[in-house]
Amino acid sequence: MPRPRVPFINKDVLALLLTLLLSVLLLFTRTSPQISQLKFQLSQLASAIAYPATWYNEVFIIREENKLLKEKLIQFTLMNSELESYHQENIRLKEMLNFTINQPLHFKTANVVKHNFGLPTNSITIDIGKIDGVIKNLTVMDENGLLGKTIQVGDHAALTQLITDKNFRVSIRIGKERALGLFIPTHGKYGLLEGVRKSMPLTEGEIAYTSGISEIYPPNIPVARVVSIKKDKNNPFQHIVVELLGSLENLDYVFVIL
Amino acid sequence: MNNKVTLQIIVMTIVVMGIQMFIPAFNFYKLVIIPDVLIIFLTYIGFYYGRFYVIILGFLLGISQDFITQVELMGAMAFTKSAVGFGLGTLVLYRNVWSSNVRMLFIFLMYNLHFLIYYFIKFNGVSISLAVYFQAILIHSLLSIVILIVIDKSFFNSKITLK
Repeated sequence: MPRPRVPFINKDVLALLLTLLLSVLLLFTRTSPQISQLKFQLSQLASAIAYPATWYNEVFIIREENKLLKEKLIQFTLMNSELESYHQENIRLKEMLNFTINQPLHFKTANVVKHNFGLPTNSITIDIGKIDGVIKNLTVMDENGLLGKTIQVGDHAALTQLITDKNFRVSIRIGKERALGLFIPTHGKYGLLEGVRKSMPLTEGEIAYTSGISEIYPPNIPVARVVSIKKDKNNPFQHIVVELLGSLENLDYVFVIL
Repeated sequence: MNNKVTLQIIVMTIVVMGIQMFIPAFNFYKLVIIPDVLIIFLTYIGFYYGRFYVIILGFLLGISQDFITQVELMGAMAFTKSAVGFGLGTLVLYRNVWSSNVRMLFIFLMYNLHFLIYYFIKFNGVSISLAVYFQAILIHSLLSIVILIVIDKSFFNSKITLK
């Protein structure tokens, strides 16, 4: 006669599991400090028990990450070698075209000794002059962007017309196509970019740089960031409002490009 | 289990619950000791009817005890009594196998486990020190086993304590 099979989970074990589950549920729905502390202790115990599994998972993740990084490194190495070849090609082509190399800019640091934000000219006075090699119409900037130009130079000081002055104008380039435009200050740190054609794709946040066409300003000095763009049907140019990059508040020292 | 026995158990449960409710607590070296009659009752249920009934009854008695005495720790006694009920239910399987000494040692260990789990929950899950073990757990366990021996010899003709 075959012996009856004893199930692995019999009704006793099932009853035990059910009652224990109910008890734990009841216990953990309490909000007393004792239960909160108990939960904390048990979670610490659980994390200590699960530490090997967590450690193994972390090792596994790091291995995967390492593998990915290695793949990326190979990609970047290939890209770098490609760029290097382009760089060499560019040098050869420039040599073939007798291209002149841009001279690096030379700066002179100057302290601002006087502010004049009233009429007729919005200006500042700096503490370097002819003796230091400063002449009229030199570019003045700070670490963020263009601030103005020198308009009168003494032996030990120079008057600088600020970019916020009503009579200040500077030629700029903007966008991927490096379209030409003209920066005109309006009020405070805001200004307008005039002469940027309507077909030129622009987005808010793009930065206008000096064009280099002017005899005063060297190219690629950041001037202003686009705040808003409007296109009018009756106007062939875009109406672009910009915000100055150079910090005119708490002006303490500036750089004069010689 | 027939209806008559079920009725007897229900009546006994109510009586034991009543006794547990009105049993006096006493101080022993600044420690409040409350004899646990319910666990002795569960020992008999386990000895005669097996695991299933003792687990269910342990849970119900434990939850009633929690509801009456410690609402902030609702579930603690139910948990301990269900868990220990599983162990006490083993008595029926070895009724004719174990000697009385082995049986009493097993019951004592079960009582010990019961109070150990209970005080572990009561003391916020921190590990129980030796001092607390001797002051609370061991004394409670010893008291329970003494009451069991007295009841067994007085009312049950030494069914548990003697083979």
